[in-house]
Amino acid sequence: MLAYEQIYAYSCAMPRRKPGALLPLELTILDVAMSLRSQKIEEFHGFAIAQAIQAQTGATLLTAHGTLYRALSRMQRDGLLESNWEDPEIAESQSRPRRRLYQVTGQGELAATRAHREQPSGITATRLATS
Amino acid sequence: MKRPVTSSKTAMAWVWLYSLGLAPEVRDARMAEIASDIYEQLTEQRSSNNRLLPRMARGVGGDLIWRNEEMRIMKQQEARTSILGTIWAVVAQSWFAPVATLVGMFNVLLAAGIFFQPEGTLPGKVVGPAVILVLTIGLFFGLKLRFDAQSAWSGARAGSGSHASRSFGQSAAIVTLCAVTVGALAIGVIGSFIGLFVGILTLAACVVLIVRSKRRSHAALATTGNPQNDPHRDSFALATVLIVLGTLPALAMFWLVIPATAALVVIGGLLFSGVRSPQPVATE
Repeated sequence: MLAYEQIYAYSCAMPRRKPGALLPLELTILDVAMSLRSQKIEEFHGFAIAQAIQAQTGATLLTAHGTLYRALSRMQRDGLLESNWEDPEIAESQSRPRRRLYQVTGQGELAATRAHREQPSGITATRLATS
Repeated sequence: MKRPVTSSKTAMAWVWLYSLGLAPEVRDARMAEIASDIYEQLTEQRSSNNRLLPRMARGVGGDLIWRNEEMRIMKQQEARTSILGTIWAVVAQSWFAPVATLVGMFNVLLAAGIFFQPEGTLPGKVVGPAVILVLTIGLFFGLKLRFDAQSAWSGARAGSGSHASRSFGQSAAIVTLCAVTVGALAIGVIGSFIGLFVGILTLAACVVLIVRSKRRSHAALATTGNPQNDPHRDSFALATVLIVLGTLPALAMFWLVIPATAALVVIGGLLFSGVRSPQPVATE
């Protein structure tokens, strides 16, 4: 199933990716983030993107912590995402821990566009189109 | 109510465990981010509380791979700092080190000239060149000591063995200084005013350095981590003294303008470049 392929994309058994290529989970994160942006949600935190991925791809399980945050960390290092910690006063006023908020960069948009051009029949695009 | 608390504590304990040994800022950020995720999941109405641990367990492999990647990045940054520290050490003294080398070469030629001089008589024919050669060895050793001290000061790796070499270096420098003192005083007693002058100078330098070294080692035992007891400063002081002494033969030949000028350039370089710690390469 797609959900498990994406979720386990970072398992040790996966082959090393080519430089500049996006893994399925990374492409999914970018697609979901851009679809959130189209709904005027510019920034997202880890759990929000995990929920959005589950909702938009029809997965039965949330993306695991180790899988999701490793992907987010690598994407940030590659310049596909940028992040900042939210204002501590906001978190304090809502009595919850501070969120780390991510945004897709221009480089991330280009990478997603390029990946879809190379794989026009991508499963992710199909699922998003039908959601 | 107990189950979500147990699951969240277990999940955070796992994060604490696999992030051990990472840079503090990386570790703290990871723990804060996971804590936020856990909070969001537990307060989410649609998810049941017992999905937290399975979600954590499914990502264990990714957590460990992430840790390995962060450790690799941390080690790469340490290596880069070490390389930058060495480059900074070269830059910090590179502008006068070649001049000091030329002064050293002049000293060697001077010693050879005195030794092979047909009109020369013993013991001056031997003692003079010997003292000049000892001063020259001290000059080159001082340059090496200064370079090592600057590298270590700039944040080179602790495992490079520089600490052990500095201790040996300091001891060897003091021994060299004492040998120069004895030789200079011997010449001075024989009848050379310059030898006596140099001997008194080096004797004073020996006494000061030995007393400071002993005082700092006693103080270091009492208060570890005090920057005033930093051994780099002792190495720099020793190196400075050795290099200045090494320029004396060239200074003495003041009627030969170029060697004397080069010696003054070296002394000026020493005076205006003490222990320098460049902020960008300081490890945190």
